[in-house]
Amino acid sequence: MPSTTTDFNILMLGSRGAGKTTLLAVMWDQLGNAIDRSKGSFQYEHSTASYFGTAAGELRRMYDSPGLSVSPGISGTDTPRALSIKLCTNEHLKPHLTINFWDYPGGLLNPESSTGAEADKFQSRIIDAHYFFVVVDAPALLEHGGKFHAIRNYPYPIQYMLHNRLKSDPRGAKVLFVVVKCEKYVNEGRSKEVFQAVQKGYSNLFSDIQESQHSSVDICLVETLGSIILDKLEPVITATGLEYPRYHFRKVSEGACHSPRNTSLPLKIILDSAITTSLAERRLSYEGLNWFRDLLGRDDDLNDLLVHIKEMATSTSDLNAHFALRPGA
Amino acid sequence: MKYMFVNTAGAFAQDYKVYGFEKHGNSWDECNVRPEDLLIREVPFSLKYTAETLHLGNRGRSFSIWIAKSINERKSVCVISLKGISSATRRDFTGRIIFDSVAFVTSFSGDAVLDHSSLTESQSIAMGLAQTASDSSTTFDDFANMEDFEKDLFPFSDIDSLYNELISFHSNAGLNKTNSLQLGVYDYLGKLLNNLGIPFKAMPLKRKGRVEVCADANGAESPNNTFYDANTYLKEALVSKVENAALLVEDGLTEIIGEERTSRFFTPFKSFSALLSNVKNSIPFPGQKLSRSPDFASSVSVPSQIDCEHTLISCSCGVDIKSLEKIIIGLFSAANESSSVALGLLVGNEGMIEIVEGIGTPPSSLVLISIPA
Repeated sequence: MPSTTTDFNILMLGSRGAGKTTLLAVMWDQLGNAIDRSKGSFQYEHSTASYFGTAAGELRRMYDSPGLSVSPGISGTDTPRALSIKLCTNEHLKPHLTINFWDYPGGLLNPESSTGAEADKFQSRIIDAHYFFVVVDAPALLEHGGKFHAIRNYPYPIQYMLHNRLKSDPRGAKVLFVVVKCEKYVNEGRSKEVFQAVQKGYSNLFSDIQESQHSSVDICLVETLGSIILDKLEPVITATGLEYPRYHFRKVSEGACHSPRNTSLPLKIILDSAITTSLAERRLSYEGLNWFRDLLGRDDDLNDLLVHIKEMATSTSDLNAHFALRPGA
Repeated sequence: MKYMFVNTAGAFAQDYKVYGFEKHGNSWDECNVRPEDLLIREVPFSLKYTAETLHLGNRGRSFSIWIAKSINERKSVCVISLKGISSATRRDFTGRIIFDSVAFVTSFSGDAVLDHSSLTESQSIAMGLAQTASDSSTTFDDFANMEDFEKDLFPFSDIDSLYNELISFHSNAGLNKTNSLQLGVYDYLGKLLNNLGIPFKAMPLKRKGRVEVCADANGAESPNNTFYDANTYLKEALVSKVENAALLVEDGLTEIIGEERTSRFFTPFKSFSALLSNVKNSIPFPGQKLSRSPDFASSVSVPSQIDCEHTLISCSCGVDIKSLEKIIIGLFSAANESSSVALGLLVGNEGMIEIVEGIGTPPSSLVLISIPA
């Protein structure tokens, strides 16, 4: 018999500086607008609110510098963090869902540093995750012919990790590519090019998912900053002789302020999957008694919420910013 | 043995990295020792420092001291760390601020544990780092070589200068005579905070792990070494099983018929559940006396009597540097006079004060002080 609250785990994958914490902060900032209060609400611990609140504040301060220059971004994740958001509806006293975001330092994806207790814990998270967020650095994928994709987006470790999960777990893997720092390309009308570049850059993973009935892949173009865009990506040679990219950003205008776009898209995709998972788990656990539960309308609020989230996402997001592949559908 | 660890990142590094240095004479030489391995080896009582208490990559600013000493094991260790010092000039490849952290680990074994000069030197480092921590504009930038940083190399090539600067503020205060052994370490530190006018709460320390083996007869006097007898185990297991079963039924019914109907149905059983809980709570746990609730916490104006010496002292506001210096002197003096002690101080808003107990005799006093920044 399940607990009345379902845990839904999301593992964030992406290299250092990719924008995992920024993405979480803007998503958290948009929670209040994600669903109508009459349909449901979100609860989170003070520490979660404090962490995301600080990060959201740092994002806004990026616009404080004079002219078109940009102040330093948020400091990122230093230690692994599990941040939880609970979803409640008015018909139930206990939360339906606890959505756990596992935000890990980007360095754990680096094969050279992925040893020790933290790395072991990270491996167990791969098994326990319901959803994988792959945060993709758009300039690394698209600038200079994509030559920085391998060192900035770690496509090979990520694909290998998810390949193992897809082959060993009957649940398959649900993957959401969240493309960030993509403002420049969206403004230039190059969204289709970005979708194609992601499919090409992670082609092995797309092939694996095509063969898996229970898996899915989505690509979202999320403008976490909105009015800060890439100015140029400058290749720099380090002491070891390796070429790395240095990012130069600028504001779109002197008076620009934080204006993220399409942040509700990943939120909608997660909520949709999490609520569907929760409903399925409950109904499976009470098989034989569901006729009685249906008579009392025990799942009506969650079903209503699913419909509501779909409506909200359609009205608040640019549909051109989303690509979906569902082999089993 | 004396080690210094610096956590930082080059301009293009894929992640922050800890660089280790070992002291030879007056200079620091690079070494491959990892701080977590060193602590596992050197810390007495098999105490295990959690990642949060040592993690040098912490970007939240904090200053901490950990001292553990066991005369029986003839081992002592002192860890002093300053984390989350933001750079004013160094930015990574995406334009983000670089944060630096530094930690000093000093460990002694054998007769050196009895040598007061070892603690005096650690106290000097702590005082120097406390001064650095108290200045919010402090950076390590003056010691960073920008050329190395831009080339993605370790930027603090002159590590001796950085060390000398960090401890240059130290006062010459020696170790005080505290009589803490008569008072008890908690009482002594509580009185010290009261004298400084610092409001605080004291509460039994949240402990992880369980002491499974009592290594020597002396340690058995500690309340933390109280063993469960077989009956206690059985009673607790039974009560837990009944409680869990009741919760499971209630959860299941809630899912089927809703909270309101379940609540009406379950009301008569609630009193029975409460009775079970009372029975369970009347059974003492290791280190816990019958009359004391586990979540006992009280605001105190004078040091209250705590049943065991495993205490978290949580201050409600930050302290000035003069008070901090006095607290540091108090901590080192208490460590100096105790034969079996673990002491901690955390100044900052990030990081959990929590020490996991391993297998072995626990320290007779384990007192941690938490002061928000």
